[in-house]
Amino acid sequence: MIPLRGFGFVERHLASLFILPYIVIANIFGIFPLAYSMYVSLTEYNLARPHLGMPFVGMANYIILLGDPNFQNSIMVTFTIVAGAVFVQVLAGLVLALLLNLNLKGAGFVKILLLLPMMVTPSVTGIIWRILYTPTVSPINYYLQTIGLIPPRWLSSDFVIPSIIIADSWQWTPFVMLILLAGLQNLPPEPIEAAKIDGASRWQMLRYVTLPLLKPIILTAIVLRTIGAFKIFDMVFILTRGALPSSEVASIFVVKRLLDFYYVGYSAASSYLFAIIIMVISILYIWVLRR
Amino acid sequence: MKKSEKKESEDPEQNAERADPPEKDRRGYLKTVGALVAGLAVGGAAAWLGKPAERLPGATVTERVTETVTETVTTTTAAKEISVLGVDCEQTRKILDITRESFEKEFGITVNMEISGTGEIMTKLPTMLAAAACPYDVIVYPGDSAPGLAEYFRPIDDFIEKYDVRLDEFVPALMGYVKFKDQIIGLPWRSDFFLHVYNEEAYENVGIEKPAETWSEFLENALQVNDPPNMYAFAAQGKDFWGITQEFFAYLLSSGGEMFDENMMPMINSDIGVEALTYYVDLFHVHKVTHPESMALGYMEKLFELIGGRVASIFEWPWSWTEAQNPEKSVIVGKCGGWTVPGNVIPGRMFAGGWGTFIPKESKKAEEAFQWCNWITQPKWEKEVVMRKGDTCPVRIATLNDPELAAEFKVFEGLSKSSSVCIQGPNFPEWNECRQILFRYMHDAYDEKLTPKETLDKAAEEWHDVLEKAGYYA
Repeated sequence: MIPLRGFGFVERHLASLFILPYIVIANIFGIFPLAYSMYVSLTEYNLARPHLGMPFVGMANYIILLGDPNFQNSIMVTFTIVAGAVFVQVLAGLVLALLLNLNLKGAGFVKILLLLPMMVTPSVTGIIWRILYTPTVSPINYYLQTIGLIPPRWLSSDFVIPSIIIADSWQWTPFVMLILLAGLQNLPPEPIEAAKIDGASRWQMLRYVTLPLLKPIILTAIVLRTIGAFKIFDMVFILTRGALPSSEVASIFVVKRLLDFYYVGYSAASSYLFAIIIMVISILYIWVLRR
Repeated sequence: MKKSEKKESEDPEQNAERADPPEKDRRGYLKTVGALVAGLAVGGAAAWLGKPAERLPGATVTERVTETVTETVTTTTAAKEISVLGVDCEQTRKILDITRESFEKEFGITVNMEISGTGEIMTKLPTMLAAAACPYDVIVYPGDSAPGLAEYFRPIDDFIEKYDVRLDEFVPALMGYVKFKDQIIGLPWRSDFFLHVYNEEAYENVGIEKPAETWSEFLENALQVNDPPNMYAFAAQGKDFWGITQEFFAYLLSSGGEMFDENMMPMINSDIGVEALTYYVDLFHVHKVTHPESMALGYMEKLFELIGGRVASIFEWPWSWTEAQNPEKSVIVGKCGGWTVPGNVIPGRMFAGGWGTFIPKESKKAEEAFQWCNWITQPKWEKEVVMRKGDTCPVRIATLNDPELAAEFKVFEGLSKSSSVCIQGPNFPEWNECRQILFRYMHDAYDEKLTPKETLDKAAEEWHDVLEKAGYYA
């Protein structure tokens, strides 16, 4: 046997060495932007005044943000939309999943139709609903007026949040439905059969057997949709550009400060602050739900 | 003998394996690594050797054959090419069609234009310029937003002098958008003069022969022509932040008001400002001559109401008049008038809008880029663009006053008059922010949550805070 000195390390870590280049590059592209933007958030960098450089101001941006009524408003708007949208989507998704689980005739075809909105990109969803909400061309308004109802001012400051929730729910309810349907179809049959033998009504079976068994799946759907809803941007931007305070969600707040007002440092700080707030609330949310 | 010692000695082969990996595995590893390294080396060498000789664009290769030797000689003539980021509109397309060939013939420079929507330009450009990674030699950019990026554009005073460009040939108000700290940073490319665009037939049907000159006349006309729900006298633009604010400014400025004083103190909440906002709110709530869905109308929806024959007049930039002549979209082709906005002191006095051509500082072909910027606004091309229905937005005074254009396009009389009284718009980076602040509060006034006075006081206060933070009052 020919002993090779030092070769033990290489052969033990050969696999790691092969993937090392990828890890290094992935971290450069992942960590560096995060680190740099964190640094920028601690400066007063104004894109319109590059000659002033990037003066370091520490936590000043964060402190000003916490007292900025526009920032507080965007937090409230975002949470309101998220809460409303997730509630509607989970409720509607559950109802649809329960109906589809009955395996009635044509359920397969209906399922495909219901999944179509999910395949549309958020920006196209925004365009579709912008047309539906424009009072002068809206078919919704037309049919509401035909049956004698007065259509709401969809994108006014009073009604824009429900309008966004409706548009978002149109797109993402099928996603929730899909998750819950998969859960329903994988429930153990024994408890359901036992309940049937015991003479439980449909409502009792649903309330005392099906829903408790489905709870983990419902929680998963809630968490996934909550994370997704917090990132809402494209659709709201196309609907309203966040022009009014009642539609200025967190992401639009950040983008506006960067691209409309050129406050780069402030915008970076707001994005980190939003991320921290959303993370804290989400952790609390999941903890409460799991209890 | 201990169990562990016995175990060791009883199985010498296993012991040997534990101490050293098997020879065959070690050789396998070596072969793999060796093959990898060899492959990389061979591949790299092949790529380096096989790389064609660097040749500059436009270079030609000639072969000179001698008796025994064949020489390859490369001569280079650098081909001139500039890249332009243009805005998506008819004017851009017409300019390119009309001037591309003549410019290339005259200067030997090829123009590669990338056309983008306004929104895309305004979102991607700031970060490209800030990163000094702008691949374009010319950028077509809205004048009122240009101050925000002015420090990234190359001053062109040297070229203006070298090529003897007559700046007095441009509408003076438009020059304001291309100046920054007493330096010229661009050339005007497209003008926008705020107009009263109206349905002539709707007016004639109720006996109105000409558009209003004063705001009280406008109200009188509005009350006459208003016939809801078939015809509304006016449509405001409440969806986009520049909509209702520019309508407000039109009244304010034409009635002798100002947005700022000489020390940049906001003056929008002056008596004239309150009168202006009260006027519009009353049009909406008291006289009910404004389209009821105005607060949900964007610029396109507002235009469609006019050219669809459902609204008698709007206040808009000239592109709307051009759209009204399109028979595929409009029912008022040939029956659409364009005149100055009314005014109690100076009708038509409003700030001019428009777009300019700017050269990024990192462009390596600044002079070629400037030659193009200057070429495309020559009067002969401007006139041809208008004649070919490429928007009615010339920037030179001569084109605006051209009698042939005035005879062909009746809006030119209004444009010419507006251009003579319009003023330079606000020219500072925080202007976008100020407009958005005013927009938010104006919505509260239209929704009757605040009085016009409260609205403008709050907006003026926030404007003051923004400008103070930016150091204007130091």
